[in-house]
Amino acid sequence: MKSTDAEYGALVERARRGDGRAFEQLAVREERALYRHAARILGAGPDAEDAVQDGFLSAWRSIGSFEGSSFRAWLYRIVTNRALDRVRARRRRPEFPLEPAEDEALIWAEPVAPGPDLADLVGNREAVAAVEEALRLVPEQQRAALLLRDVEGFAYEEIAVITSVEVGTVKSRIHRARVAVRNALVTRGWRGSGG
Amino acid sequence: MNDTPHPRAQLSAYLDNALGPSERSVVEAHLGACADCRARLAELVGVPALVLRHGPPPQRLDEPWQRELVRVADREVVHLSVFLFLATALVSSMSGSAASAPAAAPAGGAATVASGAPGAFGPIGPAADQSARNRSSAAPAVGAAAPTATSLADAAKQAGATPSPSAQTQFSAASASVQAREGAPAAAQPAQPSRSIFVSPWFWLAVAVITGALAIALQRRLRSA
Repeated sequence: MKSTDAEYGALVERARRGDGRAFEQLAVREERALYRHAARILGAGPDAEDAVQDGFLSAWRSIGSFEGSSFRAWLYRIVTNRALDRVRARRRRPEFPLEPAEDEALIWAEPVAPGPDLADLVGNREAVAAVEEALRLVPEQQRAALLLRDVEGFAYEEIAVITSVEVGTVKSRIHRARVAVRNALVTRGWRGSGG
Repeated sequence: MNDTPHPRAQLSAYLDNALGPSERSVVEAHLGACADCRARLAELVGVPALVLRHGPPPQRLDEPWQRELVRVADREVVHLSVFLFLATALVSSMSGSAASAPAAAPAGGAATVASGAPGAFGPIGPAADQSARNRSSAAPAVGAAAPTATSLADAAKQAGATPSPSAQTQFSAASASVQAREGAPAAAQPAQPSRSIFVSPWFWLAVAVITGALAIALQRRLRSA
């Protein structure tokens, strides 16, 4: 793994100096994961592909300005922004702020009936489908933050950089998205172990 | 009971170990005293694993070669199958070329299949710009068409005919249909009963058309993600 990391770093350095082949190798390595990420935000299809392709293009054009420590985070930043732009462009009607301004005021749905623990649900197809549905309804900024955390494994600070917001905002977005998922599950009869 | 406000908004960050030491100890102290918040935390614990498991709805376009195929299939396959159809009709219209026509047509059929393949492991083309992307998608199809055209040209030469379609040339729809119409009656005559069906240019024409149709169908399927 260490040699791979070193190799990766060398590729980034070469790409930064304008080596197109090095950039292409990096792009090939990250393309799949980035497409999945974009597809989770946008839905699978041409839009997600275009978000990744556009992201690579602008990454290549602005590679000289990359000075951060994580090239991967930088790519995610570009592609996430592209994907979010497309979500906004796609939306016909303006968004109404349905969510309360304060995280403390978030609505926690009450369980309708006793069910299995949420923690035991992994592997349950129905639960995964419910999660997908819930995430579709979550505002895209929250969804992106949650995906960067729970799927891509970025730290809060990294997500703050990727999405160009404060860490506090990241915290709030992730929390809101998780509560939305939790609510979707709880209203289907599942509940946590303590409640 | 418990007068301190429930630190519900902190629970996700608490799970992610993203709280500062002081915030963390406040949450922990509260959790020790508040069953309700413990229940909320227990609910949230399961969420990340479920989020991780949910995928991009369909994963059909996961492989780079699939996307390349769609891109190529988009324009090139249609052009290619039109070209194949016309080329085969043209060849079959030359009465003496029955022997060389089958040699040319299989190459055409193969080219239709191959048009997707060369793009399979091609670069995704971030290097240059939009035009580079277009070029990279066009390249495999042109390359695939080349052998067809040259072998057809050879066939035409053998038959002593002048027209030699080059790889880049695309028949215009008008002249194409004329040629096709000319081709049909002319080719109907040399179809002698003694000849095997595999020697008939129409067999290979059918192969080319079917392959083209398959390619387009595949493209549609990949598209309708």
